Amino acid sequence: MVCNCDDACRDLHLYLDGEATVAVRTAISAHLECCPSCADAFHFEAQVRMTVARCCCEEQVPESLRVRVLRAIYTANP
Amino acid sequence: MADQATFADDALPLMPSLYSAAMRLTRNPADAEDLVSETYLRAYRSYGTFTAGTNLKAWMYRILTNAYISEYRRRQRRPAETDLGDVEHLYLYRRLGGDTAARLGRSVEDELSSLFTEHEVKQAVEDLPDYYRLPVLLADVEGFSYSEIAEILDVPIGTVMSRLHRGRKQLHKRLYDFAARHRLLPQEPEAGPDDRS
Repeated sequence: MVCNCDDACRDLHLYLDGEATVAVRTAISAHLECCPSCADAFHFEAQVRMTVARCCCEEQVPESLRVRVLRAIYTANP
Repeated sequence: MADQATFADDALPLMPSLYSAAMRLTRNPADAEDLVSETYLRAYRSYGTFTAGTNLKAWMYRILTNAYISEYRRRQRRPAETDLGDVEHLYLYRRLGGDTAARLGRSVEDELSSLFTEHEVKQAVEDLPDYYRLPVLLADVEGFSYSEIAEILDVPIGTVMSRLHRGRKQLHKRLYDFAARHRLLPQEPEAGPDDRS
C-alpha cells in the first residue's frame, strides 16, 4: 500500500489516535519518512494534542473531596 | 463480579483524572466536586455489577458522563452552544505551523506554550458544545479508544469519529483565536491578503 500527501492527511487522526489499520499505519509511516512537510504537519498536530492533554489533566484534587467521597462510601455501607 | 470491600482501593486512584474531567464539564470547582462525589457514590452502589478485571476507568467515566448529563448539565446556565460550521482540514497548522520552531530554532511544544496560556487551552475545551467536548476530553486527554468512547457515551463508533473530528477542528479554531489575540495575527474573518482564506 502506497500513500500520498492527501491520503496521509485524510487519515491523520486515525493514525495519531492509534486506530488506523496496520496496512494504513505502515503506509503512512513510510510516507512520513520521505515527506518532510507531512511529517511536520503530523508532528504539529501531535504536539497540539499533547498541549491540550497537559493543560487539562493537572487539576489538584481538593483534600476535602477525598474525605467527602470516603465518608459517603462508608456511610453507604450496608 | 467486583467486591464492594475493595472499591475504595480500586477506584480512588482514578480521582485526579475524574476530577479534571469534571472541571472541564461543569466549569467550576463546586459542581465538579459534587459531580465526582455523585459518581463515586453511584459507582459504589452498583460495584457489584462491575466485572472485576475489565476496564474500571471506562466504567467510572461512563457513570460520570451519565451523572453529568442527568444531573448537572441542566443545572447550568449555558450560553447558546454554537456549532462554528465546518472548519478546514489542518486549520491551526496551516495558520501557525509555518512560522513556528524551524525559523526560531524552538521546539513546536515551546512555541505552542507561547501562543496560548494553560487557562486559554482549558477555556477553549470548555467552550466546546457537550457533544464535542465529551469525545475530545475522552480521546485527547484520557486516551480512550474509539470503541471505549462509544461505550462510555452509548453512541455508535461512527458518531464518535465524526464528533471527534469536528470537535477537534472547533477546538483548533478557538485556539487560533487566542493565539491571534496574543500575536496580533489576523482575526477571522478579516483574513489578510495571503493564503488565510
